[in-house]
Amino acid sequence: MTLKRRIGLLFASLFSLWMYGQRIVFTPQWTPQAQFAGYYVAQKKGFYKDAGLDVDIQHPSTSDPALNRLLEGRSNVITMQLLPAMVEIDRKIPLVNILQTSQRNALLIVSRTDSIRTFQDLKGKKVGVWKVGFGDFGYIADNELGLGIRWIPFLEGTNLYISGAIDATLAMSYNEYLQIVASGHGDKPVLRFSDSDYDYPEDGVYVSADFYQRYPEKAEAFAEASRRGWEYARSHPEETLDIVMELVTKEHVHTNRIHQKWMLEEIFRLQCKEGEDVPSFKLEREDVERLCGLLMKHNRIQNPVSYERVKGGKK
Amino acid sequence: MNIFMKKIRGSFSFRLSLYILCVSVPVFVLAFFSYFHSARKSVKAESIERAQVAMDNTILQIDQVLNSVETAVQNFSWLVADKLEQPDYMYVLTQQMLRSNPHVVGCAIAFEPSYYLEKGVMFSPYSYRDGNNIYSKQLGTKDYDYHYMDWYQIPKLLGKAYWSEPYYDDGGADLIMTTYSYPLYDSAGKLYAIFTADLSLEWFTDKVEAIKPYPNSFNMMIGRGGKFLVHWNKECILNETVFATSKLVNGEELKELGHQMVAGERGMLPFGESKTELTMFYAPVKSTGWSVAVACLHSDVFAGVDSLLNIIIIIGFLGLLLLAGFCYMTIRRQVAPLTRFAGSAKEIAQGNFTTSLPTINTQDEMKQLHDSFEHMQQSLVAYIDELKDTTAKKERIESELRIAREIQMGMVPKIFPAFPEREDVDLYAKLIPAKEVGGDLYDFFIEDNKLYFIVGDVSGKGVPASLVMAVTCRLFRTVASHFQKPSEIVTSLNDTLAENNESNMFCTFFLGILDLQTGYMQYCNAGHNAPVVMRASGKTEFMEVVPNLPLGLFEGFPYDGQECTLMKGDSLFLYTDGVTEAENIEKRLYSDEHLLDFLVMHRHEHPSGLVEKVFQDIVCHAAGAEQSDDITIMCLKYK
Repeated sequence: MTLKRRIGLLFASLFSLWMYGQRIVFTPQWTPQAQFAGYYVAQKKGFYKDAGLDVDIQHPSTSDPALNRLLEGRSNVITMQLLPAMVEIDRKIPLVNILQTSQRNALLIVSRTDSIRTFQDLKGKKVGVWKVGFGDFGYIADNELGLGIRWIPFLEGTNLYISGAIDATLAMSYNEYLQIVASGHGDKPVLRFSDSDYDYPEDGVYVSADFYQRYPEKAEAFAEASRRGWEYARSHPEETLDIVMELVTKEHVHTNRIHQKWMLEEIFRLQCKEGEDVPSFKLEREDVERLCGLLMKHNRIQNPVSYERVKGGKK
Repeated sequence: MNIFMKKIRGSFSFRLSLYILCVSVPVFVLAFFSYFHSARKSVKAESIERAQVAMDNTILQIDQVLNSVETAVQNFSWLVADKLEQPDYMYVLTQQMLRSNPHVVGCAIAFEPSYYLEKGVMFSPYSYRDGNNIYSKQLGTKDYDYHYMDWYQIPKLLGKAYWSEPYYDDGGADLIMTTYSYPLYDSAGKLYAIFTADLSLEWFTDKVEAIKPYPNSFNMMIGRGGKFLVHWNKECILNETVFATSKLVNGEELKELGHQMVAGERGMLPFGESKTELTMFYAPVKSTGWSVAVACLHSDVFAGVDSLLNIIIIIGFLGLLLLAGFCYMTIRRQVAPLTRFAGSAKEIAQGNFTTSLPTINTQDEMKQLHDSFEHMQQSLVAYIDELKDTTAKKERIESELRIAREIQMGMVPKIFPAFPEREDVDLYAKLIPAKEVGGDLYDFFIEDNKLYFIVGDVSGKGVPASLVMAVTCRLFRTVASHFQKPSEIVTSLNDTLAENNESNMFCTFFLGILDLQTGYMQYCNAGHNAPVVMRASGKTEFMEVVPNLPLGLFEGFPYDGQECTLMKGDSLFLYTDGVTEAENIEKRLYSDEHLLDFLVMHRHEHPSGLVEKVFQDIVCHAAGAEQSDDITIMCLKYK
């Protein structure tokens, strides 16, 4: 399977380049929202164009996630969390991190009742998790602490939680948690992974190793223009929100400005290391090595994944 | 303000009108607010009932539809159990469900994974409406793994039927849908399928939007998570929640409302500044966990009362204005005679006692005032006449007294120096009566080189005393020439005065006869103050005198005479008790001691100077106190 996927990826890259010429298809890992505001800004303000890039932003669907699109050659650049990226790299899927936007772990567990206040309280409880992923730290904590959590996969949203069908749910601090707060459950106990030993960077921008080797300057240009987009977004939050809202309306995403505003603010917070207020947009070697140790310990990866591999051979 | 205060002080009718207003305005305001408060209370109670009835009716209709769907699904579930061995018959059942329930727009029987091995992992016969037609399909696909959909998972996890949170239909027609999911269990109690019925919320939202207890009422309906299902702003529907909305300013109030609504409570909550802008009435749709809220603007609810308020305020204001005007004019008319009375009083004060008074035709207090004024006029005229008569009499008496005073003063020698031709004696005397005429007396004359001198004080004051004084003076002059010794003269005087003394008046008296050649002096004291002798040597003392009795008390009383010798330069100071008993305001007497001290201090003065200084000292001592007794001072110096 791994070999087949590698060959497939190679052909897909060649195919996509042939198909689109110089065009770069960028696919974030979720539907349009402020989590990806920096890329929308870069596109809208012409930062990609300024960098000589013709970027097309295409969003994934539940049945067609970003990584699939990259593997099948329909996308050239995707966003991904560091943990699944390292797991994929270990599985011989050559991904290269060209930009690290997140420095903190946004994952948390929100309790439906007041009785769950620590991870230990989760023993034998029904906890919601995205069917498409993002729940790895939950599984690791479950495994490490021997909690025996009954994981209930869900597609999206917070209805499972609101209905009371589960005892707690995994949530992103910038999305589901905000939805839970907006549904009147803001007073419920929250267990943040960033407050424990699991504070690792998340979102980053990835390309295939093949793309990276063939078009290193394009990858760099994309990363730099995206970074510019984020910096502009940080200094122009209202304009950024306008851009986000324009896109979500166009894509028929049912959301609202308040939710997107809260999300943007949280995303900005997650872009900085704890105690800092300026993002570095850099993937730290120490974070990769620490996460590698954790993944090895929990058999999520079979061999160590080095910082250089994640960065495409860069030191 | 000053003009207003001047008006208050200057006009009785204005002031009284103001007082009446001061009482009537609070009474009016109190009555008005009591009425207004109770009116608003009853209107509020009526509004609560009206809003709740409207809302309850709508919720009842919604519940009826929901119940009909629930019942239909439950009824059909028996058929599913019956036909389990015919998987494809499930399509027929879902179609029948749609045909028999017009509200239901879609129906699925979603089976557990791989329930029918021949049908694969996913088998979910589904029928739906498209226009007037009903179509069927298998719902589960690679892209639509229904086992993870909320409508499937939640009832499965909860183990009971579940109305899904409303969602937009995938058709893109902005249709809001909800799905009723009913879990089906086999005889072993194991779940094998979820029976669903989709319902369009259009009918519900129209119903909720149509609740209009008041013209400007607006409504909302929220789901379990506070998401707006109905909202006056369409953009909020399924996008915002009651806990996070940008469309209302005061989010905290809305959050409080949201918590109560989500908790399935029923009630009302006032909103806005001071909670007076609107009231939100809310009640739950129990089967789905949704909640309906109706906002009634207070301006709507109280519109009738408030418009009445304006009318009442205008009427009240005009009424008070009318009352003030009426009071002012009436009081002014009633008290108008007072002004004329004031004019008459001024005329009377200027002496025109017969001036005309205002005509009063009533029989009230004004008439009494008129009569009193008339009586006062008559009394004044009579009094003034009497006063004129009395004054004339008084003037006559005063004139007579003045003449009597002149006569009395004419009876005592007043030309000083008394003996300008003589160098062996100097004498000075002064008499100041307390009234026009007095009872003090003094006299002196020289005969055969002998100086006869007397000082006396008749008991009492005024005219009776002055008459006794006159008699005594005349008698002394007459008797002195018939006797040699002072005691004989005094005894004779006493006998004469005591005779027929029916008024029991008496007279203290001192008589001295000084031989100017030898300085030998004989004297007799009849109850008078002891004179002071001031020796040339400087020794000053009261003379030793036999008290005897005053003249006029006992006829035949034997008076003892005394004698002494004056050396050249010696002086004799005689006085009446008006000197030593002169009082100041604090009733302190001038006293013998003070007199002696004063005389010691001024013994070198010649008689006239000494007499005047003593008199000035008495005036100083009195310090403005009225003179209560006649004062007589005599001083003689033997040279």
